Amino acid sequence: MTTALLYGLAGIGLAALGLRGSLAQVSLLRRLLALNLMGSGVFLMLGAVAYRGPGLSPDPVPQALVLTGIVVAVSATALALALGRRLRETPDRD
Amino acid sequence: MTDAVIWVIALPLAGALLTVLSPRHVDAVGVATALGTATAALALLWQVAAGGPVRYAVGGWTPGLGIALHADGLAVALLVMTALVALAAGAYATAYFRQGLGRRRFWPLWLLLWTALNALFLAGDLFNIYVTLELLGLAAVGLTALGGKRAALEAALRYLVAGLVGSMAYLAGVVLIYTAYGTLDLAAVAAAIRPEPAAWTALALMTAGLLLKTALFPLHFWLPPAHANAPAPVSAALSALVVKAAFYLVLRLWLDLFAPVVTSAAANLLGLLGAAAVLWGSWQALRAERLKLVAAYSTVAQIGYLFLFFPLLAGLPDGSVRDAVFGGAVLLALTHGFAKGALFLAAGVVQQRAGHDRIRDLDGTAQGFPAATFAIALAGVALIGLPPSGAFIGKWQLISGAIATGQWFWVPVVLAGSLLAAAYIFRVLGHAFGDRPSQDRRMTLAREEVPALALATLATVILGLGAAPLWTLLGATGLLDGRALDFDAWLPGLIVLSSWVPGVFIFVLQEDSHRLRTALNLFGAVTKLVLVGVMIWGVFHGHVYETRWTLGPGLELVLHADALSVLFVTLSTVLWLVTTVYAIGYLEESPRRSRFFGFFSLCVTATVGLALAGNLLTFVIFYEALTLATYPLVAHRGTPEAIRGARIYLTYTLGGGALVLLGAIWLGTLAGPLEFVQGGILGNLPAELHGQFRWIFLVLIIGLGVKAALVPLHGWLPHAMVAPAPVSALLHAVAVVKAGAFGIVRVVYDVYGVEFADRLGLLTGLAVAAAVTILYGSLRALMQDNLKKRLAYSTVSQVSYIALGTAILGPIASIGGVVHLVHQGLMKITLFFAAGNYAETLGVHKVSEMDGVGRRMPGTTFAFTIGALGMIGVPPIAGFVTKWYLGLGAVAAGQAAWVLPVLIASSLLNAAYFLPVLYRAWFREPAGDWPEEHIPAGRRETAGALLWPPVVTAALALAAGLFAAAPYSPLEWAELIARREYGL
Repeated sequence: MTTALLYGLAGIGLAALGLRGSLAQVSLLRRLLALNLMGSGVFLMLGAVAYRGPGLSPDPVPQALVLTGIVVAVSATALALALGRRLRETPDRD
Repeated sequence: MTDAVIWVIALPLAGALLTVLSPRHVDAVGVATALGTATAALALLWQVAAGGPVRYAVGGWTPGLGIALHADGLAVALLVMTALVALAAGAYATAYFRQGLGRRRFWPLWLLLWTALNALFLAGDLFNIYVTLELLGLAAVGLTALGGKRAALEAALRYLVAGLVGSMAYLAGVVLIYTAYGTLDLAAVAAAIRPEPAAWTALALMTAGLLLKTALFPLHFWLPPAHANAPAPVSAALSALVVKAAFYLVLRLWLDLFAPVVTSAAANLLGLLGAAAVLWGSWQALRAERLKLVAAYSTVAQIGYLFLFFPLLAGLPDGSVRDAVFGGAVLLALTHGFAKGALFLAAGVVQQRAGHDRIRDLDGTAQGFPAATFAIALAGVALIGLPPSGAFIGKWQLISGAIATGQWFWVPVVLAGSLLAAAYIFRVLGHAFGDRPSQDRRMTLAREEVPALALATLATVILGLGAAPLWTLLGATGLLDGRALDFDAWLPGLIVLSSWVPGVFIFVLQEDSHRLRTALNLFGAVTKLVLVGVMIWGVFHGHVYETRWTLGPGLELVLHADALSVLFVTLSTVLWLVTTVYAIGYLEESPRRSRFFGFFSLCVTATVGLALAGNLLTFVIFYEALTLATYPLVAHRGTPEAIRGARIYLTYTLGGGALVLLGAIWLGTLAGPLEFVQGGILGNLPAELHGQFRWIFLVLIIGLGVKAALVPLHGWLPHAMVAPAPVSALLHAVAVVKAGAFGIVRVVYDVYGVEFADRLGLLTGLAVAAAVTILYGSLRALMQDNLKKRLAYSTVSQVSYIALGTAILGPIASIGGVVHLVHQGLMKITLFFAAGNYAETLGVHKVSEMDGVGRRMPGTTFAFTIGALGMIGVPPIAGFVTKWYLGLGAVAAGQAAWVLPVLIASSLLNAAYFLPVLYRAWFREPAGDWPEEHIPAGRRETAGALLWPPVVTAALALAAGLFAAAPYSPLEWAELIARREYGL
C-alpha cells in the first residue's frame, strides 16, 4: 500500500464520517463541524491525488483546488455561524 | 465590444461591489447594472445565434490552467432567461423592499447571485463549476435570510447545509475524474471518458450532489421552507433560476460529458425520481394553505417533469426526434422559469397588499388586484401546461418522446401531474374569483404588478407561440422551415385576432366606462362579421385561406378555411354579435362587467380558432383555451354555487381535454402532422396500425364527448347552468357543447375519414352512444321544473343529433348531422335568450311560474315558441330539415329499423317537454303577481337589447328552414361538405 493510497482512503473515510454527521446531527455546531470534516476528507483526497511519486514535485492543480476549497469552506462556515447567532438572538414568535 | 461573454460575468460582479461601496446610490447602481447585464446577455444571444458557440479563455491562459468560458445555445438560452427574470424581479424588489436598508442588503447579493449563475452557465471546466456552485449557494442563502424572521433564518440555515453537502459530493466526484483522466476541462474529459468504475462513481457522486441542489424528490426537503419564506423577489429567483442551474449541470453531465457512461437503467432511475416528484410535489401543492407554499411545492413537481426527459433522451438515437425532444426539455425549463418567477412576484403583491397569503382568505382578490390575479392565472396556464404556453409545447414533446420510445408509463404521470396542477391553480383562482365586496381599485403601482405580468406573458404567450427559433439555437437543423405570408395567408389569423384584441383592451377598462366597452365589443363583433363575409366570398371564388405558424419541430399552428370551418365560423360570428347585444342589455348595471366581457371575447376567440383549426394540434390548443376562457364566465356571479359549478365544469372539461391531447399526440407519432383533409388521412396507412387507431378513436371521442355532453359524460352541464343567461346561451349554442360536437365531426370526417372509420367498425359505437344520449337527455328534460335546466338537458339530447348524423354512413345522414350544427345553435340560443328574458324581466325561473307569460311578453314568447317547435321538428322550422335528413339517411344506410324509432321517440319526448310550456305561456291565466318584476311593462315588454336578439335568432331559425334550398343556406354548405367527404 502506497502512502498516497493511504491518504486517499483516509480522506474517503473522513468524508463519509462527515457526511453522516452533517445529516444526522441536530445541533448546529456539531453539524458544521461534521461538514468541515467532510470537506477535509475531500481535500485530503485531493492532496493524495497530487502526489506524483518520490522525488517528484506534486501536481499543482489539485493543490490549487484544495486552496480554493478551503477558502470556500471557511466562508460558508462563517456564514452558517452568523446565521446561527442571529437565530439565537431572534425570539421564537415574531 | 469584443466579447459579450466576459461582460455578462464582469458587469454584475462589478455592480455588486459598487452597491456595497456606495450604499446611497444603491438603487441607481443596481438598476443600471441589471439593465447592462441583461443587454450583455442579449448581445451574447445574438452573437451565438448568428455565429455559433463562443469559446473564451479568460486572460489568455490556456484551458487547464486558466478559466475557460464556453457559450453554446443551451447556455445562452438559460443565460437570457436568467437576465429577464432577474431584471423583472429586481425591478419588483425596488418596490417590495419599502425601506432603504432592505434594498441596500438586497442589491449586492442579488448581483452576486446573477454573477454566479452566468458564470456557472458559461463554465468550461469542472472545478469552475464547483466554485460557481458555491458562490451561487452562498448568495442564495444570504438572500433567503433577508426577511430576518425566525422561519426565514431557519430555512436559510437548512438550505445552506443541504447546499454544502451537495457541493462536497460534487467535489468528491471531481476528484475522481481528475484522478482517472488528469484533466478538468469539459471538452478534454468528454473525449477521454470511458465506461469504468471511476467514471461511474464520479457520475453517481456528482449527480447526487446536484440532485440535492436541484431538489429532486426525495432530496427536496429543504426547498419548500426556503422558497416560501424568502422575500418574494428572492423566491422568484430561487425557484426560477437557482434550482435550474443544478438541473442544467445534470443535463450537461448526462448528455455531454458522461454520455458514454450513462446506462438506460440509470436514466430510468432519474425518470422514476422525476415521476415521484411530479406526483408528490403536485399533491403537496394541492394541500398547501399558503400561496407561496403552493408555488414552492409546484417547483418540486416541475423539476420532476424535467427529469422525465432523461430516460427518453437515453432511449433515442441521435437524430431529429431526439433533437425535438431535447428542445422540449429546455423549453419546459425556460417556461417554468418565467412562470414561476411570475407566480412568486404576483404572490408577493397579494401578500403585501392583503397582508397575508392564506388561500382560504383570498376571496375577491380578482377585484382588488386584477393585474396580479391575471398574472397568477397566466402563470398557472404555463404550470398546468395548457396552450398557448411554452410548457404545452414542452409537454407535447415529452409525451411524443415517451410514445416514440415505447416508454408509455410516463404518459399517465404527465397527465396526472397536469390535472393536479390544474387543481391547485384553480383552487387559488376559485378563491380569487370569489365574491367579496372589496374596495374598487384597479392597477396598483406599475413597478409592483407589471414585472409579474411581463414574466407571465413570456411564459404563456411568447414562449408558446414564438419558441420555434429555440431549436435552431440549440443546434437542431432541418426541423423548421419558413413561409412567406400574404393577405390570404393572414385572413384566418385576423379573424381570430378580431375578438382577441378588443378582449384584451376590455380587461383593463374602468368598470364605469360603459360606452367605450360597448363600442369595443360591437367593433370586434362587426369586424369579425365583415372579415368572415370576405372569407365566404373568397372560398366561393376559389381562394385558399391558410395561416401557418411554426411552434416547434413538427408542430404547426394552422388556421384554414374549408367548407366545414366556414360554416361553423359564420355561425359563431353571427351569434356572437347577437349575444353581445343581449349581454350588454342583460348585464346592465351589474358589477365586474370588464372582466365578463374580456373573457367573453376570449371565449369567442377560442371558438373561432377551433372552427378554423387546420390540424389536430391547433384544434387541441383552442379546445383547451376555450375551457380556460369559459371558466371565469361560469364562475362569474362569484356565489359559492357558481364557484362550485365552475369547478365541476372545469374538472370534467380538463379531464376530457387531457384525453384529446393524449389521442392527438399518440396519433401524431403514428401518422405525422394531422392536417384535416376531407376523406381523412389514416386510410392509406399500414393495416398493422389499425388496432392502435381504434384505441385512439376511443380516447378522442371520450375526450370530445365530455364537451359534447355525451351520456355519461354530461354531468357538468346542469351545474354550469349557474352562469348568466348570455353565457349559457353561448355555451350551448356555439361554444363549449358545440365545440365537442364539431370536434367529433372533424375527427370522423377529416382525420379518420367516415368510410375508413366505418371499415374499422367505429361508427356503430358512436351511433349507439348518440342514440342513448338523445333519449336520456329528453327524458331528464321532461322531469325538470327549472326552465334553464330543462333547456340544458334538451341540449344534451339535441347536440347528439350531430353525432348521430356523423355516425351513420352515407351522405344524406351526414348532411343532417352537419346542418344541425347550425340549426341547433340558432334554435337553442333563441330559447336561452327567452328564458333569460323571463328571469330578468319577471323573475320567472320555473316552468310552473310561466302561466300567462305569453300575454305579458308576446315578442319573447313568440321567439320561444319558434325555437321550441323547431326542436320538436315541426315544419318549416330548421329542426324539421335536420330530422328529415337524418331519417332519410338512416333509411339509405339500411339502419332505419333502430334509428327511426329513436328519432320518433325523441320527437315525442321533445313535444312532451316543450308543448306544456307553450300551453302554459299562451293559454293559462297568470296566477297572480310575477315573482320579481324587475322591468315594468311599458311601451315594450322588456328592454330593447333583450327583446331583439331572440326575435332575430328565431327569425334566422325560421329562415334556415324556409329557405333551406336557397344558395348559401346552411343546408347547401352541409351538402357541399357531404359531397366532398364521400368524393361525389
